Amino acid sequence: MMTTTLISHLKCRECGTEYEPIRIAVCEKCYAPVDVIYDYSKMSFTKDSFVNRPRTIWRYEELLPVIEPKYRIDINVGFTPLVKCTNLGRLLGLEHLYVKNDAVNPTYSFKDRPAEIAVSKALEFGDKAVGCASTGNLGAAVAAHAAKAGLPCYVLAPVDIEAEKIAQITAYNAKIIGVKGTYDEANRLAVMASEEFGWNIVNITTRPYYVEGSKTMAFEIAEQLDWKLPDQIIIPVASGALLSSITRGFSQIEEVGFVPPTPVKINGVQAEGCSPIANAFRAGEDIVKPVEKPDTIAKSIAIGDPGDGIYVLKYVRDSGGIVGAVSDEEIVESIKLLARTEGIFTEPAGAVSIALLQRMVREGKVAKDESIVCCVTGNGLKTSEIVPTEGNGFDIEPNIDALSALVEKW
Amino acid sequence: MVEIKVRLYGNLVGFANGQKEVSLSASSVKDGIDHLIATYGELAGRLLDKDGNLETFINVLVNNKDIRYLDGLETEVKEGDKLIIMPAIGGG
Ligand SMILES: Cc1ncc(COP(=O)(O)O)c(C=O)c1O
Ligand SMILES: [Zn+2]
Repeated sequence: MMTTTLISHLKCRECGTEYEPIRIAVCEKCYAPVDVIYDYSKMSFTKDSFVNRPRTIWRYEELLPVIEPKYRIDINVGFTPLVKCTNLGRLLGLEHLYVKNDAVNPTYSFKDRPAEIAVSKALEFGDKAVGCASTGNLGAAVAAHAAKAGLPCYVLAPVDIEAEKIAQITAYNAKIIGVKGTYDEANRLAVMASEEFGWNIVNITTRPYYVEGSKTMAFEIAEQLDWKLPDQIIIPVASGALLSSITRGFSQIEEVGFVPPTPVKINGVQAEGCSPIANAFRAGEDIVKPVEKPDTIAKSIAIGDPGDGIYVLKYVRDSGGIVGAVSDEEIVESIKLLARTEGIFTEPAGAVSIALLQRMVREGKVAKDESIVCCVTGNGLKTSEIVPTEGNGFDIEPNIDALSALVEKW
Repeated sequence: MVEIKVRLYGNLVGFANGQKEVSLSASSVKDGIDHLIATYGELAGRLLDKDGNLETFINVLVNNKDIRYLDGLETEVKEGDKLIIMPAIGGG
């Protein structure tokens, strides 16, 4: 098969230094993030080209950074449902409310997107082992892809992540290294490990490529809205990589001319117990003061020192959106609300977007006729202890009298 | 002044003549970085900006604790402390 990617080169987001598409983590000069740049002049596909393409992230192969198709790992990631939320919309008084349901990816979070690109890229670079620093979801995503690719996988995660995530990572046969500390400490150790042992820690060692995967969420939203962008979007934020990637995805899909230029309000949301970016947003600051000890039930987004924090502030402010922080109580209530109205069961890190949505409605920040997409990024089964089971109260003997007695009480 | 060890990561090693770890004497983190730069001139523009603040994408740890949770560059050091200087590579 022929090369289809339109990748041209890499470029430092701060100092502009350009690089060939090499195995690189950050700018060699100023250590800022490095972005993948594509050459649209070579583009030969149109919106119509999509009709016969696979319903996975590889549908957008031209705008992804894997050069040789033979290195592609494909476990059916992406093209997740964009659900029109008629029930929740009615309740909140919104006519065009959507949920991008990334809880139904192969490993049950959006992290399959960056992991699939990163592990493919690792094969292309000839790496012999992959790994990641993770709050759990990325660990599962990289471990599953490593299993498919036949590579050993090392996941560094805080010891106190949810049992479900540990079970999942273990099942994929990755080595899970429980770090007695925060995510940031695990991340730092991962930087050292990549140097010490030569592992491709995908969210560090080959970060410019890794973050490209999440862009596909923006492409899909555009395509699923019949090649339009929404008026607003709400995105859960930990490191800020997802929000940065979706923002880049929206501008790329405009640049290639598939959607008309649209001013999308980009909104980010964190949990109150770990909200360094929301704090900076509220204070009107450009720098992000890290949180040393995150404390929230939304463990997936408990990153105290967010790598892309300053860019989240910039993209959100440029777009006229907000970065909010929601409480654990609001999160639990939002998990239940989304499940009960739309049949979508998310983990706390996905429910933050529903919590912020409700607050924005109360504060008049979203109009009835605006289209708004809430990104639901992870699955509720990853954190099953969050919503207490009410089932135990309803245990009965296996006969109709017992059942009738119970039903009468309702 | 006390004797401390400094461990470098990433391409910073290359700008310190390939030395991953160096010993030097210092009274504070700032002082340690100044001494490091005095010895390895090529590190100059990489660690501190022109106002003498730590560069945005560089992290410094004293005994594994980020100096942003201590007194920043003014953090005092004790005999035998271990300084780590590394590019801040965002995870997540
Ligand atoms: C479910 C879920 N949502 C959102 C995020 C936030 O991602 P980012 O670090 O790219 O901001 C994460 C990160 O782990 C996550 O697991
Ligand atoms: Zn640079």
